Amino acid sequence: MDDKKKQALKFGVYVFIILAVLTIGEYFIAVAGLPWWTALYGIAILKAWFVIQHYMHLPRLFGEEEKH
Amino acid sequence: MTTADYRTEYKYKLGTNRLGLWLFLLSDSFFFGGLLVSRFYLMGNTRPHLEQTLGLIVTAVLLVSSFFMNRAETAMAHGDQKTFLQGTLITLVLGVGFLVGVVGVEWQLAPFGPNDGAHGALFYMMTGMHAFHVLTGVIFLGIVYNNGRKGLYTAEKHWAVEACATYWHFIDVVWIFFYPALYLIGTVVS
Repeated sequence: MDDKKKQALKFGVYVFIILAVLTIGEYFIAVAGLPWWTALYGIAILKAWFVIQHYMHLPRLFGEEEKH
Repeated sequence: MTTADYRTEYKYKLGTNRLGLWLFLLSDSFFFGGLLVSRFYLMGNTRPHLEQTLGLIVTAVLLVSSFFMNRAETAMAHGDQKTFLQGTLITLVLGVGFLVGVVGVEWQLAPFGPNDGAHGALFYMMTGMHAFHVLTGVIFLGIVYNNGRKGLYTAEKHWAVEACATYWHFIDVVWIFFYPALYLIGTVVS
């Protein structure tokens, strides 16, 4: 039980690090004045996917994860 | 009713509860999607003059709050009451911090009002409606925290915690799209 919890908490940290790096990336793209607007929205979609998949646990809706 | 029947019924209810919540979030996302489309239709490749550093700070605050919300929910799913309460409380405080940053600071610093053309109207509408959702999320967090202190949730039964976490992350997803639309994309117009 404890190992499972630690693993789940660690996974949350990994997702957070990815989100933080992507956020910093989009900030610097904008501050540098680069006209990469498609890239900015690509990053936003990627960030949203990470949150929906791993924080909101969308697969639970389809019964792909265990129920509590 | 036997224990097995009760468990089956609870699992069934959990499934329908999840579906109901996601349908609500889907309908809410159409509203936010409409605002986003309006922003690009009316403002095109321009954006309002806003404080970049503050935008990054409030975005970071919301991102960190999502992390702690996930931590709280994961802890509750494994029966760790202490980490759950800590995570929920930190999320709540960060949610209030986000509100202060947007409504209390950014709205005061913005060099335009809600009636100063499309930029003003869209900026206050988008941030205002999002802030309203953050406020309801903070109230939801407060209720869940209070119930959690009373020991109403267990590792087996904590639907309210899951619903609160899902709603909070949804608020984060909305901001993930609003942040570049308002702060990053386009050239600044004063």
